[in-house]
Amino acid sequence: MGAGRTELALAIVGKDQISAGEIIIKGKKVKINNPSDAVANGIGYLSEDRKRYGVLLNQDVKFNLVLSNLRRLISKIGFVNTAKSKGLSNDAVKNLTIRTPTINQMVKNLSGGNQQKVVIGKWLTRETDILIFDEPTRGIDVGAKDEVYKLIGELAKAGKSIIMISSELPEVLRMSDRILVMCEGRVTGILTNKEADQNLIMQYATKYR
Amino acid sequence: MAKLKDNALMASIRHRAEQSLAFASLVAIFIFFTFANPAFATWSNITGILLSTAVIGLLAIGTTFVIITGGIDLSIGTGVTLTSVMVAWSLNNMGMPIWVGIIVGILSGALMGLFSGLAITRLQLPPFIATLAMMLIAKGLALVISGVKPIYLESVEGYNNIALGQIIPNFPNAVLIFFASAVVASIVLNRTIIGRYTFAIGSNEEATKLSGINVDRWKILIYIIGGIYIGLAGIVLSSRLSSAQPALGQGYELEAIAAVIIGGTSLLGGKGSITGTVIGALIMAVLINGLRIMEIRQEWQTVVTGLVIIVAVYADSIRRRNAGEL
Repeated sequence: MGAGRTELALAIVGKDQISAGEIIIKGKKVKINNPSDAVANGIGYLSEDRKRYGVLLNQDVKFNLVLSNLRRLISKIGFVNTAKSKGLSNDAVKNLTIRTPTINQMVKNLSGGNQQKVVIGKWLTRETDILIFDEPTRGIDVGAKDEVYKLIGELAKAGKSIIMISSELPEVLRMSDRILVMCEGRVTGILTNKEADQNLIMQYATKYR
Repeated sequence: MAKLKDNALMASIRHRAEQSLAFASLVAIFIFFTFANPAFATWSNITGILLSTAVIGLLAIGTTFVIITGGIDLSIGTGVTLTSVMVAWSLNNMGMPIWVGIIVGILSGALMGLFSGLAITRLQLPPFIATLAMMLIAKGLALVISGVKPIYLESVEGYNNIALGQIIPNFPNAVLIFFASAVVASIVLNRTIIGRYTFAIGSNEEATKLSGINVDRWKILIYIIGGIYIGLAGIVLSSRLSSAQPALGQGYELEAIAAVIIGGTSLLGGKGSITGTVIGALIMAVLINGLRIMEIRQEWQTVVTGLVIIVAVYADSIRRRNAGEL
């Protein structure tokens, strides 16, 4: 859309460099120079381009689910604890109801919705606190969409901070506590769910057009 | 659900078939030469084949890591020249003890990997270009350090035992080193975190980065692993020849890469195995040895090697097309 939402998210997670501004987590200013810093600070980014930036299509479900958490699953000399990896993966498959025959299935053989759940599982396995969902329901069929909404709701209830980027207004109004509207790379408004409606959001979203 | 299960089953069957396909080719070629010439399947000829595989095999093992990341290392051939010259120089010219020479050899290989890795990550050069440059640098350095003359090591007592001694009777140590290195590499690739990251980087570098993995640092480490194997190969080669030859090694990189590809590791990254690479290296060695025993001229042996590479890469691309990866 050119509003700069994805760019903002990529800057927050350190994929792109920021030239100004600061990132404050739980009252503390943090410095994020690359995605490793972001993950270390408990921020996980879930791209709208799952196949490119989310999953490893040619690896299995288990491999994907523990990828960002591997450092905690190794012995002193670097051996991966396969029993723990399997346990974590099976837990994630169960908790997120990922539809896959086994955790050894290649991710490319899963449906879009289930691939999305694998990405979510990757961050939950890592116990990430802040999740940035970039268009989480794009390219997912209607049934799976509801499941993703429910999942995001549950994550929020469980105490995760969720930032959801979306251009679907009904989705935005249904899911959000606070709505930050951007236009042409700038923040044009911050609304609470109560005061927001489609017209008001559109007004802010087209402020500079 | 049923469809998904079928896919999983098919994938696993296909995977096994690919692995055993390479192995079956090796057995088939072996049986063919056994019948073609009785001198082929003798113990001394077989250890001869294994001995001739050791250097290329070591290079191929190390470079399997690099290729699984989706990279390539063209410097491993002249790298062997440089590391063998470095060992010979430290033993012969500097009079260092053998164990120091070994460390010098491995370190110089590791340094090559470090520089290639730095050029690829920090300077963001494509691996092909960075290691092409390293190939020339290693070639030139080998010539400079050796003074464009072979360095002989006959006077270094016991050095040729590294490759030609027999801890196991009738089984040259070089072969032992080759197999032991393969086992170690296989464990590292399949069981350790660096192995996982090797596959992850080759499967999807961007997604791996966004998963919070410091891809650059691990890539450098992986090129260093490749470099350590260059060092090992240089030690085995110089020990076997009791000398370092300043012009020997160029072209080895292509044979090693061919072995890796024949073994089923994909040049696109994300997929491969050490077992496959060892089988690939053996296929090439058995072919060359068999042709030699059948008294086919050496020039033709090279032609056959080329044809085998075409067949192997073509088979790889067909396989990927069938698997829907292209």
